[in-house]
Amino acid sequence: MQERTDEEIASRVQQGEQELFGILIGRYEEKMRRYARRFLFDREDGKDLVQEVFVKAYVNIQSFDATQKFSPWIYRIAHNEFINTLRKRSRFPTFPLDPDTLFPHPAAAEDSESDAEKKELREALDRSLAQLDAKYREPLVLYYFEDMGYGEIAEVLQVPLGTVGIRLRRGRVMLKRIMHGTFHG
Amino acid sequence: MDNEQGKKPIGEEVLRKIKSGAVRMRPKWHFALRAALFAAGAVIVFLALLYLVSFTLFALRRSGVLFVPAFGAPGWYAFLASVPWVLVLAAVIFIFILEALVRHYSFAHRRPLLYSLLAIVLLVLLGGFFAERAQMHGRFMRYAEERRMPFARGFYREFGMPHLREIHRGAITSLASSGLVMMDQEGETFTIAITPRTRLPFGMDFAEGDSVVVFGPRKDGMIDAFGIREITPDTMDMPFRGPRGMHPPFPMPRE
Repeated sequence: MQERTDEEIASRVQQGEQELFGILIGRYEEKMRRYARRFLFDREDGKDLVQEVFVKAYVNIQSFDATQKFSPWIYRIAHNEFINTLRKRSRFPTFPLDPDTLFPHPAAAEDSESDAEKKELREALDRSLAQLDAKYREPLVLYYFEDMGYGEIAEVLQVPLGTVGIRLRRGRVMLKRIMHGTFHG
Repeated sequence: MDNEQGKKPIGEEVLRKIKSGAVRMRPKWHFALRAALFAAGAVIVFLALLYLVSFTLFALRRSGVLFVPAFGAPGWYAFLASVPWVLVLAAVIFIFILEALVRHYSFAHRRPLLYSLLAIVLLVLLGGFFAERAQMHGRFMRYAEERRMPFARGFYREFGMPHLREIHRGAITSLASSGLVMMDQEGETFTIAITPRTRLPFGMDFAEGDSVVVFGPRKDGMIDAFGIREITPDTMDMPFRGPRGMHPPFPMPRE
């Protein structure tokens, strides 16, 4: 069963083999915990939330299209759960209209950073997450810690590809300012 | 599988809930029904928008307001002052509702919001234009006038027959040396004074039966015309119904 793809397992769960859902939990639990930890900074809350993510994934598994990738689907559920948590904590400002998604941005090319640069940014990000706005923190976490491409991040956040590019670029600039001690936002 | 699950208390807890029936999978039809209701909602909002936009165009055309910008800045001022802004505001609200609905579909959220918003506005304007030309509102208006309409009669009478002080639409019944005689859509006759300051953006080749829009203040059966323009007659123009349902005593418009 281990070599089967996530999509094949999800499809069999849809057909009634509910015990196979445990394999999906096994494959995604650590990723979800990591995502929650970096996005919410609260281990205990994160654990409950991750459990809620899997419960919601099971409840709604019939809405998953097995011809698509499973990973962005479950990350989308996690994203919604985490955003709702941030809203309840009132730390996350809710703008009905985000200018980043309103206007077209130049086609986002995936950045060709060296491994050393990536490592440096990843370490800086880990130290400075709390100082970053959730809007920029989330794509940075997905890109640097969850190893997602721009397309997958766009699917998880349900925003245009250009918006992912612009948020990552701005997030990196903020991060570099924090690293150099010049960020006051 | 056991190894994978054995280490994970979250996994065990979730599977325990699933096996005990505390957590149940929603059936496929639940999602199909939700998608169908969502799509139906979007279609209903779109149709409501088409109705609103086509009716607004109809009301503007019927009252003559649509044609007054041809008279320059004062015409534009009268146009902006006479537009039924309540309907425009309602249409804008419906556009945002429709945008929020289509945003759930990947074809919309993969692109900038501006694109989907512009696509909706364009579709609604085009659709509204063609729906207006289909004369549906003309028929409803006539039913409203004849009190044969069981619903929305007040809506058609209020927005479809606005009483504007300076914009008059009708047909020429006769030509005089210093002006024209016109009958409006309610069967009232006016003398139109043409002076050197009267703007005639499309010339003054008027003839009996021409449909015209006259821009200027009305006093005691006289209109001091600031502007006059001929317009393409609509089927709703002729035959006019007079106050008692009589047809006006002037020739039909030229083809």
